[in-house]
Amino acid sequence: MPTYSTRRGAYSYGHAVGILLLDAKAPFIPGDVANATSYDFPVIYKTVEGLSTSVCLNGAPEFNEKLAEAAKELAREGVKGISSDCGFMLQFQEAVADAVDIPVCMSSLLQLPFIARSLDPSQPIGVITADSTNLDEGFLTRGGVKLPPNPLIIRGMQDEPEFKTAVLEEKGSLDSDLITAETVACAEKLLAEYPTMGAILLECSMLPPYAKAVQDAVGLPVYDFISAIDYLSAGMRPRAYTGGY
Amino acid sequence: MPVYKTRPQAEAYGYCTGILLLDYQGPFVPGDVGNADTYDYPVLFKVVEGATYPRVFTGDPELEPAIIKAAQELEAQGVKAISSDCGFFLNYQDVIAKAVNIPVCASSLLQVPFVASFLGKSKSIGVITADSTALSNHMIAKTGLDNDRKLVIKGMQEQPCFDKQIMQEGDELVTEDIERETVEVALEMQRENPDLGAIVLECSMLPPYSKAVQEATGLPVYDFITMIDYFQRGTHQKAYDTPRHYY
Repeated sequence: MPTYSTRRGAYSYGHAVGILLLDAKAPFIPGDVANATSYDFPVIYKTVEGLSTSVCLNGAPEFNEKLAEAAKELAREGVKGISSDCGFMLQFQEAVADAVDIPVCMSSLLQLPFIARSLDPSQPIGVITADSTNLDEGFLTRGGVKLPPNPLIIRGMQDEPEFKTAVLEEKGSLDSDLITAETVACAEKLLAEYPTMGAILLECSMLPPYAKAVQDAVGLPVYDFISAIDYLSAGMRPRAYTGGY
Repeated sequence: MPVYKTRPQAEAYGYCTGILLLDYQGPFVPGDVGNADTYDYPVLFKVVEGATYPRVFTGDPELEPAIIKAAQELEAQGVKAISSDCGFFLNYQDVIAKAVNIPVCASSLLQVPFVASFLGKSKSIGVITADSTALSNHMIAKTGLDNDRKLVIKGMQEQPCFDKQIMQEGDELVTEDIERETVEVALEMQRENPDLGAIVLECSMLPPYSKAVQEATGLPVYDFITMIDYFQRGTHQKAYDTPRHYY
């Protein structure tokens, strides 16, 4: 019979992934990284106080230490991997990964080279981000993302009225029908301008609820924050195969 | 009401991933890339005639036309992504990706840089392959792994059961044997490299043993199936149909 030891620092057990959260208040609907029902496995959240959306988007190296500490606390609680709820937390990837012994995927943007490798280098990749004024190739490179040969077309949601007020300005409510329409329109425009586009990556942790609508509209592979967290978790939750032969 | 059009080259519909198979016969147990019941979704297999594993291991360029044709046939049948049942199909990743308009993940090794990006810079990444003598630096470079990441490679070719039952295309495969050997190789790798941060299994016949390797080493283990599942996810986005009050 297996013997289990108490994990000092843990008040509950079985959490697969620990997710560091921005200090933000908005409705996190099913499909959002910060909604626990978005996963087929249990996750645990930890808010990083003071790290507001705008602070994070504008770059906040002074938070490196705080994020590393928060990740260590999650690791002590027994999570098997660490993630976050903002693609711009790519800036903390190195600090957090160096602080713990478990795999860390702080940003949806880490998927970019992997996605690119599945395509022909001539096929553009569309990136839909919360704020394209802060996301460029320099930001990716500084975050350790190796730029693929594929053209990267980065589009932001910052001027879409519902996204802007609900997500970036935290007005206190969110109309998912309106954000669906805004996100789909952005993706359709991308495809119209780049008809050979091979895939779309949604940077923002609040966009996965609309990934299916985007895919249904444009017919392309769509990757998002949840696909990254699912993959991160898969390595620590290997399956027992009981199927047929 | 949606209107659906006939796909002229499709015999049947709904296959998610198309999988190119080596010209190889062996028992593909549950968890093997070549076992349809490994997946939570339907896959479509297609044997590439003449693609014996020694030819694929060395990347024989004469196989390219047959591989491209098979991949294009899978695409015409309607699959949404293409994979294979041998990590050494990495040799053909670029030509396949050029020949079709859907994502191609021909080799489990494509995951190596992605998994490495999850690890602190002092950690090494391990690859367990069917044959370490065939896995050249040129192939590793094709994965896109950064030069400054420490990579550790171990092969299964000298394990007696793996050699007899898999490399020699035996008629019988005893999963306990292969599991024991795979776990031994993984533990040896971990002993020799205390900085090991994650393991990627190259061979399509090893995913049945990922769980045993993960439990023995405590490390994250990625394999062919974690990759195929990832591309399945990207090509079949899901609806979050949780009742909306769960927010």
